[in-house]
Amino acid sequence: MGLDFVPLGKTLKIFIGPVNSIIHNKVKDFIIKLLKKRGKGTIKLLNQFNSVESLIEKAGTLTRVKAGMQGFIKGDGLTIFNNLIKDATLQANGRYLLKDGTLLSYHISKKTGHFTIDVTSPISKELTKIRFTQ
Amino acid sequence: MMEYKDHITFYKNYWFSSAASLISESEWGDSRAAEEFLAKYWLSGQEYQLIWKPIQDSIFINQAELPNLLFVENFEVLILKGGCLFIEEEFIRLQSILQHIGEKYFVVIQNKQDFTLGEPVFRMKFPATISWDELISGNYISAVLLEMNYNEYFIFGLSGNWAKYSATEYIFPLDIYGFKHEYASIFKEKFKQPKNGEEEIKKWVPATYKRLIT
Repeated sequence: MGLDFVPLGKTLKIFIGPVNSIIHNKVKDFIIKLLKKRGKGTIKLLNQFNSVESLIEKAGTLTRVKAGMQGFIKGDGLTIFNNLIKDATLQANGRYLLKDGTLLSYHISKKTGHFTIDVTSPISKELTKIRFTQ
Repeated sequence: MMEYKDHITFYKNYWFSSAASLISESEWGDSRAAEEFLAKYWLSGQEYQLIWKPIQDSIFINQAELPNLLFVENFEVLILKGGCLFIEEEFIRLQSILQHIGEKYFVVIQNKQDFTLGEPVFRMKFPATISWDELISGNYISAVLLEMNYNEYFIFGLSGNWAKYSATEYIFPLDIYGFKHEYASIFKEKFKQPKNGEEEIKKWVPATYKRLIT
């Protein structure tokens, strides 16, 4: 079962409104349950990316670009993103706040087709683009 | 009709508020500063079509996208690392070139981006002498315009002798400057890269551009 249709983050906020956290959490729980039901490959994938640190680590050497950093990972970006935000709080601006203060959001580039997770570190405040290739 | 009305409301509560470095999240949302900035520097659709679009068409190949060539044949190119429209250091360098050329105004035209969630696109006109402080005075509008990591723009002046394409969403973000031959030396001097920087850029650029860079 694919999850690509499931609207999250900003898209979700647009559909159900910014304050409806009850619905949001139910949808999120539903997604997490679906993720758990996915095959062994997905579980292995989620084990590899169970924190932002692991995400950054797997991206290897990050490249400095103007006003931020960038790295690449092979894999299913949306599944990984959903796993990373499972205990996060949806912010009013549509980003997810993790317990350690890291902020996450995503976008999909029509130019390159890359699913991209935008990570803001609580320490450096710098924006890092993690782009997913298949 | 106020062509930038949507910009004031849309970007007031926007995900980039927690990612921008020009202003803090607590400062984000000053719609008065945003509106004043847009009132001063918005480029109307009428002026764009009448004056600036013909200049754009004389510099950029119509509808061209990377990795294809963007500039028309008589333009030389210089490629730098990209990632956003301008950072201060780069802007100051460009401004010194604009003074040398005698440029009066430059415009920033956002390329269409289908992947956005309906973000209104920018079309701005600035005097070439504008200070960095003034450029960043538009609160969240300045932050989105200058720093957003997936906005792509055409930047060019009234002279039609130079331009930049800000390719922030290319696989490796690039700033591609194009200029007529007589301005090659000043662009190369002002944007001289360290040797290791040049080598890195060579790995990033599309194959179509490799023969153009020295």
